[in-house]
Amino acid sequence: MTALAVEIERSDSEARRHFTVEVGEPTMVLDVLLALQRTDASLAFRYSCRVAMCGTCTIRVDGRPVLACRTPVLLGADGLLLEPLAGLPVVRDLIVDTTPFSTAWRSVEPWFTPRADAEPRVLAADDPSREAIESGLDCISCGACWTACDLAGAEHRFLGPAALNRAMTLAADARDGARDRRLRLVSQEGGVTRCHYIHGCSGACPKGIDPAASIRRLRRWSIGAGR
Amino acid sequence: MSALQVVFVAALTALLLGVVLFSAFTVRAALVVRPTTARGSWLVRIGRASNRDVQRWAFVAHRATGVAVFAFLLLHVFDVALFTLSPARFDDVHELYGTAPMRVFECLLFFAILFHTFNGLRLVLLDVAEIRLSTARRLLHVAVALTAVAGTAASVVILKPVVA
Ligand code: FES
Repeated sequence: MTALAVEIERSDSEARRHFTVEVGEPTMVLDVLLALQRTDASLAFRYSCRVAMCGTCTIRVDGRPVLACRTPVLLGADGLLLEPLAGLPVVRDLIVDTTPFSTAWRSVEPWFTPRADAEPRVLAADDPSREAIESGLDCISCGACWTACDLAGAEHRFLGPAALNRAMTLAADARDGARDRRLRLVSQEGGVTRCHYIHGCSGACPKGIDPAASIRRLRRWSIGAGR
Repeated sequence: MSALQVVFVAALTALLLGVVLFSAFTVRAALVVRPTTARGSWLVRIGRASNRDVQRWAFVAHRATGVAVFAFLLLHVFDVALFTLSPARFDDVHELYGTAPMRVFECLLFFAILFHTFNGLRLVLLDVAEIRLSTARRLLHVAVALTAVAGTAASVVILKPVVA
C-alpha cells in the first residue's frame, strides 16, 4: 500500500481539500473517492454503475475529464487533483448540473423517427452505413467531451460534440425519417459550423469515440443537402 | 536611427507584445479549464501533454501564429505603402529588414507562416476527406516536421549574411 496525497476542489471554501489515502494496485479514482467519503462524509460526488456504462461519475482528474470508475490511480504519482467538470455549473463538490449538456442533446431530437414511407427493417450486417452509425453509438453521455471542448464548455451556444455525434448516428441511418429536419437543426447557429477542430472531444472520450469526425461528417452532409 | 525607423520599431514592438499577450491568454485559457495531463507549473503541464492533447495544442498554436502573421501583415502593408509616398522613405525603413534582430524575427515569422500553412492544409484535408483520429494526429506530426525542415532551411538562408 502507498500513501497518496489527494486534493479535491470543494464548493464550500471551508471544507477540507487535502487528504491522504492508502492505495494499492489496482485502485480506481472512484475507489479513492469512496475511501475519502468514509473520512469526510460531506464529500459529494456521483456514480452509479461502476463499469463505465452510465456516465455519471465523470470528473476531472489532474485536469483531464475522465470516468472516475475507469481511471486507475498511478502509484508513485506526486498526488491527485480532483475537480468537477469544467463548463457546467457546480451543484456541490464534484457534482455538476448537466442541464446545458442535456438541453443541447435534446435539441437535436436524439430519438429514432421511422420513415413513414418504408417498412421497418433491420440493417444488414454489411450495410455500408453501419460503419458511420456504429462509430458513434457507444456514447454514454458522460459529458467528458463537453468539458474538453473549448467552445461547448465556455459558451453554451454550441450544441457540443455529444449531441452532434448523436445526430450523426441517426442521420447516417437510411431508415431515419427525420434526416432532413435533423440536418437543418445541426446547421443552425451553434451547430456544426461552430466546431473549430480543436479535437478536445476526441482526445477525451472515455469510450474511444471520435466526435470531431462525426461533426465533420455531419457538416459535409449538411452542405450536400444544401443547408 | 531615423525617425521613421523608430516609428517602425515601436510599432513592431507593440505588435509583438500584443501577439505574446494573446498567445499567453490562449495558452492560459487552454490550461485553466481544459484537459492537461499533470499538475505543476504551466510549463510542466505543457511538457507532459500526451499524444491525446496534441491537436488541442495545434489549435492553440494555429491561433497564435494566425494572429501573429495577420498582425505583421498589417504593419507590412503600411511599410510597403511608404513607397507610394517616397522611395527614399521606403528604403529607409526597409534597411531595418537587413539587421540581425530583424532577421531573427523574420525566421520566427517564417516558422509561424509555415506552421499555419501546413496545419491549415491539414484542417482542409480533414474537412473534405474521411480521416481517422490517428491519421489526423499523424498528419499533424507531418505538418510539424515540414515546418521544422523548411523553417530551418529558410533560417539558414536568412541568417547567413549576418552570421558570415
Ligand atoms: S459509475 Fe457509471 S460510468 Fe462510472
